[in-house]
Amino acid sequence: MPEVNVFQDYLPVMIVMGITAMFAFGAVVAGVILKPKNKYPEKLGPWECGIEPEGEADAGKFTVQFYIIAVLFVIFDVETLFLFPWAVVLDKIGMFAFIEMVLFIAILLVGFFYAWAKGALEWVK
Amino acid sequence: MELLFFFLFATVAVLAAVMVVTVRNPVHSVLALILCFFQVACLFVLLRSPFLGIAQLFIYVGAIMIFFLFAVFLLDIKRTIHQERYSRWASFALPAGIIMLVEIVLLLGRGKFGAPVQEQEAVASLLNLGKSTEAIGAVLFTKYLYPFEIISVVLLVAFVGAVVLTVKSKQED
Amino acid sequence: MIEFVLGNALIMILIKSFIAVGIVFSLPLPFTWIERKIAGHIQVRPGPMRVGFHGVLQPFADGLKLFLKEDIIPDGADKFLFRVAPYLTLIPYIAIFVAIPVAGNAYLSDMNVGVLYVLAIGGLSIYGIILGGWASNSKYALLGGLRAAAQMISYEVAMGFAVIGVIMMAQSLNMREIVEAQGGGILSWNIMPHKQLIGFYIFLVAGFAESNRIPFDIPEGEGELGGGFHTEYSGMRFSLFAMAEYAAMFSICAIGTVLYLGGWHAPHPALDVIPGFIWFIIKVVCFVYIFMWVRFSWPRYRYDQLMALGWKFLIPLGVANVLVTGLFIMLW
Repeated sequence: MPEVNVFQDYLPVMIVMGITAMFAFGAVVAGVILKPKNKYPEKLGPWECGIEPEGEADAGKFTVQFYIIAVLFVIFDVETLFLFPWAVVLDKIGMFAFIEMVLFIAILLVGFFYAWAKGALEWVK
Repeated sequence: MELLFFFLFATVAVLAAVMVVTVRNPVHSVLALILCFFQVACLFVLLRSPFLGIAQLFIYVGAIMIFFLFAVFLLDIKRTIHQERYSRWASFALPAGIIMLVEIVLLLGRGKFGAPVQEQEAVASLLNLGKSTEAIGAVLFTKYLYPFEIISVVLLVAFVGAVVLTVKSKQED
Repeated sequence: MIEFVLGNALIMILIKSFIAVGIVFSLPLPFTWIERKIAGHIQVRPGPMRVGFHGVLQPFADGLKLFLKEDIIPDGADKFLFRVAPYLTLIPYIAIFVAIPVAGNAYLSDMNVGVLYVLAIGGLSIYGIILGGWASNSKYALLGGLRAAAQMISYEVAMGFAVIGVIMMAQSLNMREIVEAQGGGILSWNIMPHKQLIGFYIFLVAGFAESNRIPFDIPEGEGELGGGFHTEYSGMRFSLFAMAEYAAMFSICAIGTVLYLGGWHAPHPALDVIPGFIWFIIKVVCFVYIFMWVRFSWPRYRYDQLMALGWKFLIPLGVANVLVTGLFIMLW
């Protein structure tokens, strides 16, 4: 029985990731060895155009817009994922699969245009 | 050899999952959860289902965790770090976790995780050729047509829900 | 399986991987010089001239400088995440190259889900950028990181829809099979108007945004955010981010070549005497040139314009492209 050779196909992914990490780590270590060490409080402070840093750089003060984009992204990502197997088998199943997907996308587009009409995509109010 | 990889991925996944709940900084928690999901993706690949593995990477690691991270950023993180290790929600979470564990054990005991998909010969032959994407497509758009269309409705609800929440927070501004 | 792992195949994979990673790591050296030369000549000035003949040794001088720079971890930074973030950005971009076939028999992995893998792995690099920005404890870096993440996820959706069109043409997620489906001269390439020209257009625009380059380099726009997410980075860690940006550009160009420009195929079957990998390299270099050309010709977008372009134009266009392509395949 022929089967997927997962090692031949996916071991390179792990190896390349490992080699990349090794190279990058080596570069950083070399930098740490060669670098000058001359620290003082002004240098270690966050950069704010040379002016004394003011307040904390904590999150929690963002426009909710970033969050909405993330929600929309998750939904669209799931939709895209379903398109992949569909695109591969479209030719074999034929018109039936096509109409199915048109329905699927149409339902989602209702939501998309609702979001659009409600101004969820507007950054400037 | 394969067993070695399995134990490697499984151990890292479990350790990462433990870190998710024990680490104090929520951002570190998110990172640990990313690692956990990544290992689960590797396990899917080991199970000869590359499509599911990469889908796990695409949806959970690539999308859901970004969403989590944004949610964490929207909260006031600096304050959360100094919170107690066990919050008052623990008393709700523990029973819920136990119930889920019992359910999983029951389901496993009854063999509900068998592979009914392989009943179809065409699908089985595709799987043997290593074409897991085609196999999923072949059943998803014919046999499981109804659940597939339901998904779009579920996603629509998520869309509308997200927008309704936004409009509300706009008025608060 | 044990025989395979212990046998020559593993050694071959190791050697190939070393070569691939080595090439990607050394590409920034010639290309920073080329980019600065192109910039110079587009703006009617000579570009770097002092170090070596016409400045060819400039990248080595720059590299040496980066090695000798003090690397600073700001006070109040999340030290662990600050150290980890550059790797989180660089590794996924380089891992993309695993699935890219340079020629019919030159690839690291012939995985059946290649296209999906490339999109999924490329998407992971967002974490390095956003966590690096957050860990710096600097306002500019935090804003840059968040902007970068929001921008990249938005354009990832558009890119996904663009790529679906190609998959429908080839009926496969396998990168090698996608290239093979485009064999037989320039007219069979997916960039042709009767194939996936609109998809290519979406892919190209989304590619600029995914690799954070001009006209969409707002996350690191030095005019308004200092340096964006890497404001607080210096020395080698900064250069890892810079290298990641280059790797991103090259990976987008390589993916684009595979999906739309016919991969290793010659423009005309008669030209097949020239080996495939040379065609592949020529196409990628042309693609990279477009990136550089655009960089020195276009102004930067404003953030709300950028998001509007992604969500209100490219995504609807991408959905329309998928449906029209499907209709054509059905009626053919």
